[in-house]
Amino acid sequence: MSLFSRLRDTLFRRDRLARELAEEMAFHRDMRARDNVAAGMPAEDAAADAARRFGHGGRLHEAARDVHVIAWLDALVREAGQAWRGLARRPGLVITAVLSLAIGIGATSAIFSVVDAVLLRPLPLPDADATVLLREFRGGGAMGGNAARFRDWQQDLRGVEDLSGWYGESVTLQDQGQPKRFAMLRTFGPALRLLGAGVAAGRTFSDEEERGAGAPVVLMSHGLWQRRYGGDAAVVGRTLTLGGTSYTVIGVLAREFGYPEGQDFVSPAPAGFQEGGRRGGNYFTMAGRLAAGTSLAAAGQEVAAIARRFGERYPDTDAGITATVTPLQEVETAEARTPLLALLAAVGLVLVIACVNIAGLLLTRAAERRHEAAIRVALGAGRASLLRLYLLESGWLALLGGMGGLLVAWLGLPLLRRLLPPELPQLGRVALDWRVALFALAVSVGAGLLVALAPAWLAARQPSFGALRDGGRTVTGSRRVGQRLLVVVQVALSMMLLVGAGLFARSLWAMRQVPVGVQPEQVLAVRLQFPWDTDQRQLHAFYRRALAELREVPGVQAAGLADRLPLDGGSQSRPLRLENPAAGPGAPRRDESISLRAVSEDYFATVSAPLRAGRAWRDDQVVAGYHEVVVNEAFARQYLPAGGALGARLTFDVEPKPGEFVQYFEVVGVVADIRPELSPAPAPPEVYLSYLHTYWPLASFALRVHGEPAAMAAAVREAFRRVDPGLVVDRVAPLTSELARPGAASRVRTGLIGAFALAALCLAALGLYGVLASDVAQRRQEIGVRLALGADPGQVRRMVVGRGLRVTLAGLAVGTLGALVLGRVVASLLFGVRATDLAAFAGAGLTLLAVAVLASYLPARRAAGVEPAVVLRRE
Amino acid sequence: MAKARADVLQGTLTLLVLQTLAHERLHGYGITTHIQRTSRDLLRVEEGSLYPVLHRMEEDGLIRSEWGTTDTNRRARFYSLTAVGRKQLAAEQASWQRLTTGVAHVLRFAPQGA
Repeated sequence: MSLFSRLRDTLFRRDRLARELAEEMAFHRDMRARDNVAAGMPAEDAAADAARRFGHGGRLHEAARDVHVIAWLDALVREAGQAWRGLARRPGLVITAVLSLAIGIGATSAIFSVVDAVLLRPLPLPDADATVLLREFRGGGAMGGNAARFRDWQQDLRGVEDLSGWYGESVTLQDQGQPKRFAMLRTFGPALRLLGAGVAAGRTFSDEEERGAGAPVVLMSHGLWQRRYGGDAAVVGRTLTLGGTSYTVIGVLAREFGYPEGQDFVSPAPAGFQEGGRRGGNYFTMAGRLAAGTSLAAAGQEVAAIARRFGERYPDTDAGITATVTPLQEVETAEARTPLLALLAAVGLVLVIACVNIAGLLLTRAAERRHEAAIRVALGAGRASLLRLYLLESGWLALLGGMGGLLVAWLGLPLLRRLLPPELPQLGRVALDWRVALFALAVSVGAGLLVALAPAWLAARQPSFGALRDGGRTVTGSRRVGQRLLVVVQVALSMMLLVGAGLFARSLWAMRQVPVGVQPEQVLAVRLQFPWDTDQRQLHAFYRRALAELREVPGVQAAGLADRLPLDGGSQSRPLRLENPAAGPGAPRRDESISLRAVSEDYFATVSAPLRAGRAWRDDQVVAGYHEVVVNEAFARQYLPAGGALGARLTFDVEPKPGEFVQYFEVVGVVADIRPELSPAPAPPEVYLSYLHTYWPLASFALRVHGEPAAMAAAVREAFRRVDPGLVVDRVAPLTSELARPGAASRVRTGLIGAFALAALCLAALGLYGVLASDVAQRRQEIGVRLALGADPGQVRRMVVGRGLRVTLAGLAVGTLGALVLGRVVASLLFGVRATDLAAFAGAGLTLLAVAVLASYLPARRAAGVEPAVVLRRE
Repeated sequence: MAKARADVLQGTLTLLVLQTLAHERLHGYGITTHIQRTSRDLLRVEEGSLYPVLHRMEEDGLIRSEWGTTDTNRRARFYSLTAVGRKQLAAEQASWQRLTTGVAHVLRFAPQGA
């Protein structure tokens, strides 16, 4: 009964309790008075006697009430009620404050939910903290795993358990109707154990299956099982034809399987891949779990030592390979970390600015109530209770703001999820869960305290009697200083955000200025994938037939093929050697990999990349045994004699054995630089050779067309179907939109931070306006005297605007320092712009100054319009 | 000369209330008048201070209260004894007996040979 009932009585039965007590006591007094009258007492004495005999009604009421309530909570509820009633008299203030808090807290919480899902929460693995990537490097560049080396690693490595490998591939499922493309994870070793992949139905791989031996087996993802097979357990045991191979479905993965993301099937790498005699060919990811008692550093040392041993054991292939272990989580989140934290910082700044604004409002209000407060203090209210009142007021604002914030986050999250680049890891986990709610609560409490700070500070310095004496008109110096400090803070924070937005906007501009080197407007791009074990001759035959078929499509002017499109990033690369390095300005180092591009003869013409010298090779001559390449301008400039690039010969046999035949390629053309990736750096040296010289089962076709490229998509898909009815064409899109993809994340980031900066600017303008307006209102009398003494209105206007500008300039100075620090943090996100970019700083400063002038002008006009006679008469 | 009247001792009020409610359900005013009447006006309760005691006893589970109407058709809160209260009454009666017996012994004591 007791604690619960007391809590209930304190919080929910306050009114009823008081009412019943009052009624009970009134009844008693009435009865006594009636009995007194019955005993012959005059009516007026009867009531007085009843009251006297009853005792001190109020005190007894309290005493009886105290039995039922928790005293401190009761006082708190009462004071909170007072605070609320005080706020309710100023609905404008409450709405402004709650709305800005709700938006600030909501946006911060929404961004936090992304930070939490992507960066903070461990990956969905059984032992995420101990799961490490084993990475090999050559010449500073990371390289993929290789089956032969993987087996050696498995044998030698002690500090890392369950060493496994995996790579993703795209497979075509042909069961009913249209062939469809699915993502398949290919595993080496005990990957399922490492990844914690249990099954919802069926079983996992046997040891023999894990090695790729026996008939091919596959596990299906829980999502695909539900989507495509309606969760039917009978799918286990069925046979599926994936990429031309028959697999037996032996089980369905548990729903919890969440890393690597987006997998539809999991199957052991084919036996041929797992045996892997050759130590070349590097393509998969290696990972394992730190053995119990092994530190990351110890594992790192062991791995480095083993890599050195491999180099000695296999000098031809493994020399120069180094290896490291890195926590998987760190690698997964490395790219997302800085951009996300920058976003969180930006939105946090907006929230702080909003809080400062509200603090300013409350400060003004506290100053207006100074007279009231002084009376309270004089009547013995005590500073502590005044302080409590201010805290409770901001507590209400924070509470309402926090609840509104959760609503804003809930509404904004789906939007945010659509906006964010889909390559963010674990984006699917982003949700409004209890962790985000807890964060929102903490932020609300922090915001409440921040908001209460200013009026509380004023309350602490409240002079008790001065305010009473002077009629509450004069403004204390401390309040003015306080208000200006708040504006300085706001301007400084806004400056930081504006500079950030400016830097990102300039980066975006710089990205658009990158000369891609192609003319994408009339080009349609098509992307295809084949399984990695596709036969090379089949692959090349398909490419040739497809090119021929595409050229026949009405509206297609030219058709080309490339391993990757411009700005796609990545490349096949190998060290190479010039036949006559002495003839040119220099030669590539032996351990330096030069980027290779496998394209078809027509590719340059299709994307309109001009040949600066010579010509392209002819694909039919390549078939006939010609070995010709085209180099880009950067390559010619860096390695070949000026004007004498044509005719130079190069080879990929870097260290030929004496007497061995060396296959040289002749440079027959120099093509203008095409950017392989979105980077402010100049194009790297590259060598183009015929796709027929390489094996690359991923292909991008480029088609120069008449008219709107997108309109040709259907005809192009039809053409591919004519070549291979079982083929799945992954994507057909205009080249312009393909080229826009690498900059998408940057555009989203710039847009979001720009929006935050705009919000900050508005809030800062409001803050400055509020301070100046209340300043003018408080000093009407002084201004009236000045005007009466002959000051002209222009002078008064200048005085007020000057005051605003002084505060703004102080804020700009502080903000510039802050922006310099912040700029260094986000430097890695900038593109072709330095973190100290003058234009961004000057632009931000001028914008703020202009806004400050605007915000000062209204109060200044009001000040100049003061009627001296009216003001002075009021005295 | 006014009759000498004793204010009820703090601790004994609980006993008196329990005893009063042992026979019937009463409102606060009724309890006051009952104690005055049955003590033949010797005991006087400061009437208002009865209420904090009543509420405390209710909170402790000795008595329970409910709203009802009086003979004159007025709304009033009536108190009655609970089972716990009944036990408490027996215990307090016993301890009161011990107290008064003890006090009586002390008062009656006359030193021998005085």
